Amino acid sequence: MIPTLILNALAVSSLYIMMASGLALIFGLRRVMNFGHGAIYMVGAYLGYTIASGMNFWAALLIVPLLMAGLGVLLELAVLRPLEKRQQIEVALITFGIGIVIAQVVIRIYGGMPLSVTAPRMLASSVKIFGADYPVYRLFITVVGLCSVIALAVWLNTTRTGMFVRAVSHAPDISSMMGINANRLSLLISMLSTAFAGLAGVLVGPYLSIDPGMDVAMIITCMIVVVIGGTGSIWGAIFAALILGFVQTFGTVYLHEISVLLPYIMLVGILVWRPQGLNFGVSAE
Amino acid sequence: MTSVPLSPRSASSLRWPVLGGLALAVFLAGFLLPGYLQGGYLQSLLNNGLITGVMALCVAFIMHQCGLVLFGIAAYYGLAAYACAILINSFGLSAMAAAGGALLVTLTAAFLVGAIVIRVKPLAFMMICLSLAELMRHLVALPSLRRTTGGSDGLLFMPEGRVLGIDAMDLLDTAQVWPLIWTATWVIAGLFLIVASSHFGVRLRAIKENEERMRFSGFDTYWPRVFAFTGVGLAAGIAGVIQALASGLASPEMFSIITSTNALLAAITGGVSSVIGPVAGGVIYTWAISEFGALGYSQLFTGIAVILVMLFIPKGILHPLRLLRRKGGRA
Amino acid sequence: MIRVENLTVAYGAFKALNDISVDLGQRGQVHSIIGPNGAGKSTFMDAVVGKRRPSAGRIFYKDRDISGDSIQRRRKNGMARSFQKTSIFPGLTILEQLDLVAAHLNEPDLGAIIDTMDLREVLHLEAARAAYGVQRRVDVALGLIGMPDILLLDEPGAGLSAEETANLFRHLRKLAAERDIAAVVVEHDVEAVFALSDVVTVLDLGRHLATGTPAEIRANPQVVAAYLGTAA
Repeated sequence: MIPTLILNALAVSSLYIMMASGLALIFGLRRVMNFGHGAIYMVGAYLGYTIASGMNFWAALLIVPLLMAGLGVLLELAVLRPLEKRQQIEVALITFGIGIVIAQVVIRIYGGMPLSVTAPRMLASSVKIFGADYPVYRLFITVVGLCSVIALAVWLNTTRTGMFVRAVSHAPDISSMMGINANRLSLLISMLSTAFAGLAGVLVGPYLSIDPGMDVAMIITCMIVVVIGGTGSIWGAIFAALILGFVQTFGTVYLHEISVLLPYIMLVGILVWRPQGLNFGVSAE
Repeated sequence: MTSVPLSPRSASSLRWPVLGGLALAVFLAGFLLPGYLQGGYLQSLLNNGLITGVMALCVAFIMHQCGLVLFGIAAYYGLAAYACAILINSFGLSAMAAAGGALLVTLTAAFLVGAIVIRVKPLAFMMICLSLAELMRHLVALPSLRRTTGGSDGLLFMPEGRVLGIDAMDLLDTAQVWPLIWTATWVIAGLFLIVASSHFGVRLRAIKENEERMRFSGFDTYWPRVFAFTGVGLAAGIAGVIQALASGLASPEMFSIITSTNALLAAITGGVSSVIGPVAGGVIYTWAISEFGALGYSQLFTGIAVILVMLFIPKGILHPLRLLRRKGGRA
Repeated sequence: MIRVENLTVAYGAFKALNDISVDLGQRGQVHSIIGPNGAGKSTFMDAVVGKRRPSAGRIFYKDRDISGDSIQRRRKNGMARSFQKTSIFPGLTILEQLDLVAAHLNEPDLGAIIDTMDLREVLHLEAARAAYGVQRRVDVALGLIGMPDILLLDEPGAGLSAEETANLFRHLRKLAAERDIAAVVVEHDVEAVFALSDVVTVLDLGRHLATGTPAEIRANPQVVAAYLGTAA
């Protein structure tokens, strides 16, 4: 029971991590909280459905993140860059409006019924872990999630660009001083962020269902993760996503339906304790 | 107070009696409205519009006085509605007692939430307020609370007794609930105006503009904002109770992000420093949404409206005044 | 009036202030704190007014340990400050903000402060629209309200011309004498300091170098070597 739960929690956490780290990256660089992030994830999921049923799941896994990276270019060039000088909260609300519009367009195209994607045959089976049957597909989510976090960590910690991203997240004014092309970097981060959201969207298809409320549910979860982790702290967000995945998974088993409320209870609890969030060494905004 | 001579402003001495008389005339004329409208679509539009308008007033007040974007006002609106419905259904209270109890519950909740969220930064404040509205939406829809909250269908109730002299059952009629909505809107708008121009209001705005200097001037900067937040939550609760009594229903949709967004839009479009603007905004958005809703585009409309309003709002929603950093200007 | 004992403020491994002990604030006097950039002047000010918690050491005010008091409490007990970056309420008129603070701190004679700081002409101006020099004076006036016993000024001359700075210092001396206030000034305009202070304290690299009259400080070989150099 417990090992199965831990694996389930890791799968959920992986999705949250892919979403929240993308959100935190853009925030770190641009000080923009992208409220449309949930809608981008939703687009990823529905596109994943189309491509998986038209071609196959593996193609979706490859194509959707690429298409979403394209959407990231659009986000950067059409939204973030022109609104660079605007107040943080205004930009957040604009991205929120864009999110609503995107979600409505998706619902217009696909209708309001929940859809499901079947996992590829290779991943549809189950394996024995600690004496219990466990679906391979969930392990696959965890592996993809872990790999992407490790890749992100390596990138942030070993490359010059990564170092710069970290530097800017700590001190926003630094970009002009270091003379690095902040626009190019921001473009890269936007693409990375939306590609991650798209990947999470494709991955979620065979695991949970795809439905019209998924964007709101995910953006609220992401916001909770980001606030708990301390706005702007990438590692804080990843850590908070991990905790939230575990709390939700174990909560579902031991507290049943009350578990829906757990993220919120956790949010309030942590803010009473630390108004600035967990915030590992980063003071953003 | 001190003895600093204020420069006399003769123009304003005539302005207030005239404006006051005009306001009184409009207020009284408002009670005649149901006679002309004969119930019907326009009456229900105005009722819903003013309810949204009251929420917009709340959002505008906290934005103007405290510089906080309260995206999630629906939490207090819906909470009061549910509290009222539950007190009637499960505890058998009369309509008036339930309304009072519901406001007490909302007041307490808003105070507790305020005590927590006032400490966080503005962006996090916005996200947390929104999350709490979602929390409430999930909470009332929990299957295990179905017997109390009615689950995802909402909670129907039958009020008994009188509310401020009106039979509670009559409130279900759009024309008969109008005087209650109309009066509540005026009272709330009036109170907000009075608070804004009071010593307390100046204090709130001073904290908004320069919290550090306020602390270095010996002021507490935390509790005034918590109280302002509590008051705004209570006002939204009044809207919620009236809406519940007017429809005999509390539903999870009352907590939706769209409810909060429309209140925010109405506040910003109407102008956060005014009281007429947000109320008018509430009526206009309610009308627009009902028009677009008939075509199935109400959410799309809200989304597009958010983008347009944010893009074209002239000075920005919080338009903070900046101090000169360098020498210059006039002496 | 203020006694600082073994004050240390550390940011991680870096000690911005290292074991400082000094007495500050004689009534009616202007006491200046000078030192090169990075000497810890602003940190010192922040620690005294309660904005920054000391890592070690204690601060006494009127012979009472106030190390644990909040900013508000210190202000109510008569410790006021002004800011290096002008810190006023941009959206309120000058009268509104002075009045607000005056009512809160029971200032008996706001008119006198307004006259001393030469603000009567601009009372109904929104602070954001006032000239920079006026904003600086409003900043100091906000600190003066409520009969403080001690007023700490963080670079009051920042952004002002030499002449304006000298003027401001003259205002301060007059005020200190009239209201029997102890004025403590952090400043890097050395000439203004020497001309118009009664006592000078020199900080360097977080350490207390010397305290004395301007003449003593000018003659102190340590200070000359570390700070004044050949320029003085």
